[in-house]
Amino acid sequence: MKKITILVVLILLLGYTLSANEAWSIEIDIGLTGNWSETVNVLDLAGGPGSDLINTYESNADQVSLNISETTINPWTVEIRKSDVNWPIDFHFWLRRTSDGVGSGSIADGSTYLEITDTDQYFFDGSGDRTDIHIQYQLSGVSAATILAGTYSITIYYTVTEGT
Amino acid sequence: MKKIRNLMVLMVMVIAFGLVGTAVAQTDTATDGFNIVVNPVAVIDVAGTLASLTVSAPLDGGDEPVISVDDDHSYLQYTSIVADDTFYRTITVAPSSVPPGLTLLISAATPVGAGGEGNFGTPASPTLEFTTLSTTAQLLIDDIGSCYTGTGALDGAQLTIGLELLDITDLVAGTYPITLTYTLTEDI
Repeated sequence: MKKITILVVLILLLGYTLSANEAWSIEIDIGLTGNWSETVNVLDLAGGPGSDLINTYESNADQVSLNISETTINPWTVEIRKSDVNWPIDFHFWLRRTSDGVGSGSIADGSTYLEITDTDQYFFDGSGDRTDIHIQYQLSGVSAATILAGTYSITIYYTVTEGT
Repeated sequence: MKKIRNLMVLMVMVIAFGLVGTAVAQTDTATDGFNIVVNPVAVIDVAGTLASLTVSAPLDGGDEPVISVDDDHSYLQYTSIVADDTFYRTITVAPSSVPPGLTLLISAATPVGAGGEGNFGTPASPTLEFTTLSTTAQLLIDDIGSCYTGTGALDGAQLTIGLELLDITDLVAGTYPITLTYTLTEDI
């Protein structure tokens, strides 16, 4: 009886160790390279004195690259949201995926411009590790009538979640 | 035997639970932060036809010389982006010269063309007056914020330029080219 009790305790301890051991848990990873900045000035007038600013500004198609790694057999999804400082009410920020990246799994959606908001929203999904997923940004709503000179900061959050 | 079997089942269940316990949805976040910089802008141009004013002989001798009607075919077109809601710009005007014996009259109207939008500022009132002895720049439009007037044929602040007889004894016949300089600047 005593031997059985010790054996049960050892088995339960084994189970706890397995659940707590990080070596057994796989954590998906998303990384990002590249950056965008835009300066709006007199050269961006649509037609000289008296004209408005160009309304829309676009980054390079491969301005930013996403890499998703440490995946398992489960599919994953990427959501996006933003936070900003002094963001003009007329500014709208958009992004889209311009490449499938490189990997043996799959990737879908996100190739049409999506306006980023302050809450998480679905961007694209896929499976397996994937590198060099190119992202393009777009800023719209720029007008001399409604804007003040200054610096406007924005942070984009890319959150990848792998299913079970 | 039965106890060993039960223990084996328990061990398998525990191991399975331990592994499953690790297989929760994994998540990670990457961030990308950057700036959009908007620089101040202050550009101005005059659109339309050149003003042409004449002083000619009256119909009857003894009457005052006849001064042609005011010219209102030119427009100030400008784009301004200011730093904040308390920072404004002004437009001043100064003639290069004024013919002797005459007063040069200049006024501007608030832009009303469909091609513009924003805080265009407030035209000065009354009409500005310049003479031979007084060609210093005067305030024409005040409190200009962020705006664009438009660049169409009827866009911008319409200018009215005229002459008034000041002293006939100083009038000398001739052609007097005048350059009007409009300056869009900070409101200090």
